[in-house]
Amino acid sequence: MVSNASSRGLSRRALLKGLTAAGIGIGLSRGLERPPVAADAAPAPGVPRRGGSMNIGIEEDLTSIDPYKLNGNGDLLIQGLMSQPLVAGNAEDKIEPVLAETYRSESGGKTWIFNLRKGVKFHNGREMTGDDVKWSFDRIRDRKNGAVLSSIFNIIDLRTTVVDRYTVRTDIATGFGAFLSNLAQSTRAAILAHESVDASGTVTKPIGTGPFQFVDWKPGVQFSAKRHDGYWQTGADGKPLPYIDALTVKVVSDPSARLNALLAGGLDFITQPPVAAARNWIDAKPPEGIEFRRWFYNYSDYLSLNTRRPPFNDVRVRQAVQATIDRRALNDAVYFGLGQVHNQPFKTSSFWYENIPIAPVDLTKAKSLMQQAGFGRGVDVTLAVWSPVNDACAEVYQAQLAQIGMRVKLDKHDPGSFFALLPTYNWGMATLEIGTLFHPDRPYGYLSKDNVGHPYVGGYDDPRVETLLAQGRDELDPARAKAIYRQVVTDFMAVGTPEYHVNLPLIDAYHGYVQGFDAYGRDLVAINGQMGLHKAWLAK
Amino acid sequence: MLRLVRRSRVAVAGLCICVPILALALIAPAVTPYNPQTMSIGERLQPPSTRHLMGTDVFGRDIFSRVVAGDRVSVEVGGMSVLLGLVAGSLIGAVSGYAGGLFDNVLMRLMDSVLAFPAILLALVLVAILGQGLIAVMTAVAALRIPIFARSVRGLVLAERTRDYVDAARCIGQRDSRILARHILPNVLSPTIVLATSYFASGIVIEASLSFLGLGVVPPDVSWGTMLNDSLQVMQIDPWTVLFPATALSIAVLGFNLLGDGLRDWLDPRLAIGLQSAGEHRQRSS
Repeated sequence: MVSNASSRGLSRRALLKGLTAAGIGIGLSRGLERPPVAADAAPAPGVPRRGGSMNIGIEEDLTSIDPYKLNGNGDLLIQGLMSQPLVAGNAEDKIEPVLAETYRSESGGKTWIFNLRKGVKFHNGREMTGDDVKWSFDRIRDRKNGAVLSSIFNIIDLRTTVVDRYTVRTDIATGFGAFLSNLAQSTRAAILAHESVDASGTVTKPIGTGPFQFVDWKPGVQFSAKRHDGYWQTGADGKPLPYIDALTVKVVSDPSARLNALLAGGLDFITQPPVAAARNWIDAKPPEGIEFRRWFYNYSDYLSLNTRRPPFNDVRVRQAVQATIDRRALNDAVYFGLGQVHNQPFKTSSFWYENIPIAPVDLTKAKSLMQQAGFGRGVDVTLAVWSPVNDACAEVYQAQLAQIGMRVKLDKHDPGSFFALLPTYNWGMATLEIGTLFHPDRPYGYLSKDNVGHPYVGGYDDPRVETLLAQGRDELDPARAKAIYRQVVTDFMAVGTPEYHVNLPLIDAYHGYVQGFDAYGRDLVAINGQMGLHKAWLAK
Repeated sequence: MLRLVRRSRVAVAGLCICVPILALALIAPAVTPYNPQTMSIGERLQPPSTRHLMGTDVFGRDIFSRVVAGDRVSVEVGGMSVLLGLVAGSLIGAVSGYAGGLFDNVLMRLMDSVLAFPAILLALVLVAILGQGLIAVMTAVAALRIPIFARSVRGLVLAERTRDYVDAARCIGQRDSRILARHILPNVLSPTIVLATSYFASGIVIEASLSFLGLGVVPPDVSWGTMLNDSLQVMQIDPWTVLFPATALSIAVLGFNLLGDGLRDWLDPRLAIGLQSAGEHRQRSS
């Protein structure tokens, strides 16, 4: 090469000089074109920035891509990114409009009129109308589609009529007071575009109105979504939310692995880090650059006693269990003291919470009750465990009940076999969790013998409770409904099953550059659209 | 004993570890200062101290007491699974090797097909079928060992059945079952027992793995595997919760492996001759 240059009369020195001069020239010209990189990278504090993508680590995967089949924590976290209901509960468990702009009831709650928000677009760009609401509600009601709310929609005999493009009328036969709360159960009554289903009627790609749209789901591995450019809510800059372009939600079931991935920078945001780590962060401080928040919603663990089989068909044995379980010790042992002890499924700040004192631990009374029931020398019982979710709780129950002579054998199940076992009543005790509650009819409705969840609370048939539940379900006035449900709470506490122990702590941890995030439910985007990842941005 | 020390220092090292482990398993309830199952929430996650030698776990249980209780479970599972596997496997291998022909072929292909599965995967499947608990874990681990012992014993029986003493026994009209039980089996037992010692350690590891995955020993029974699982959430902040059960598991596995290797060196005359001739060869070369 040099020999070629020389041959054209250009010396090596001249060539090097020329290259150096050209390099300096190019460098200077690029420097003049734009300001230094450092000045460009620093974002103004508190001002949302658009763009970027987030990697999120969650504890459970979706159980189904169909939002109407929402069941597990993974569903709660993910489905709300894509789909939204007409109405939703807010942080105080009060119902407020989402895709419905306004709503009103007529004929004592038998008829509900929903005026839809105009200009709401599905992910495929089509505008949402009354026809979509009717299609969605009819699909939920049709039993063959397997929607969670199918049985409720059939019990209340929900009929949907399109009044005009933006107005929908629903008529129901019963359950007037609880109706809106049913529609507010996360995405179980979301409005989907009919293009979401394939020829066989299965949802293969949910096309909703949420801020993020479906890209890909690899079961057990990850879920991907990108921003919905035509989303109906706008950000601080007047343009449609969300600020972030794309999300990748990875399933990392082990809490320590999730936390390590966050600390190593592989994830930007995780749900439910190890409780022990969160306790340490509260007592001392979180790692450099990491932020976290602990919060509560109506999310409780509970213990059910099978009232249809000995020994728990004897109320004295159930009361003995009541007097033995030490909620504070359970909270300390399993949740490192981060939960809130309680005796009903609602958080203490909820409108539906009843201020009924927690029964004190009284081992003498418990032993006496066991004696009276003929189990003074102890009794063998099985505890069905939803494993691994409730493994630690089960160990604590086992140890505490040993104090009154109950020899508890743990019978661990995966979710599928656990929920198949409960309706058989072939178990003694069962440890469960319940969440996403905006009305007492959902948790206390399980006490009704016709409810599919009746086995979950021990299968106790109580005609008085049945009457109260029917009254509460139809009561439109919240104050009067609350008074009715207070009697229900008092009654099931006397019966001794189910026993609610701890309102579970919920913790999110994320890097400090994730800004603007807040939520009050398990959803990554709050179901009422007021908080969530669609309002978050990346300051990096 | 002195001969053993001279012949195999490895076996002695193994014995020095295994004897205390076995002794501790025998007298566990007498040496544990606390009930290993009793929770004391007020004392949870205490670091090692004179009150709790190895500290306490997330439920306030004494880790030393649980390590000792876990030792008993490990020895039970290791011992019983090897014993069950040894008896069943030896029986299958001996009959198969002695009978030969199609019977031998079918049985051995069956054993091969079991061996084709990774041990832990097969154990998971078996526990899923049998259900959880100590008995299920022992049975699952034993089932994994049956083909190994069967193949080993079969090979030894194949070699023995052509020997003169077997022909002599046949000539005097002894029944096949008697020849197998009284003459062949005693001759193949020694190397099989050595093999059993080696598999004791892997039995402990499989039990701990299953319990760690939540599929082995069920609370309130204690296992080193469940202790490791319990410590997952707190191991970074309270490392003693993982350190002591993990160390106990490692020492036990090391001990039984050393003992197995040592016994093999000591008892297997072929290895002894091999070593000796190798030594002679080295001396000649130098």
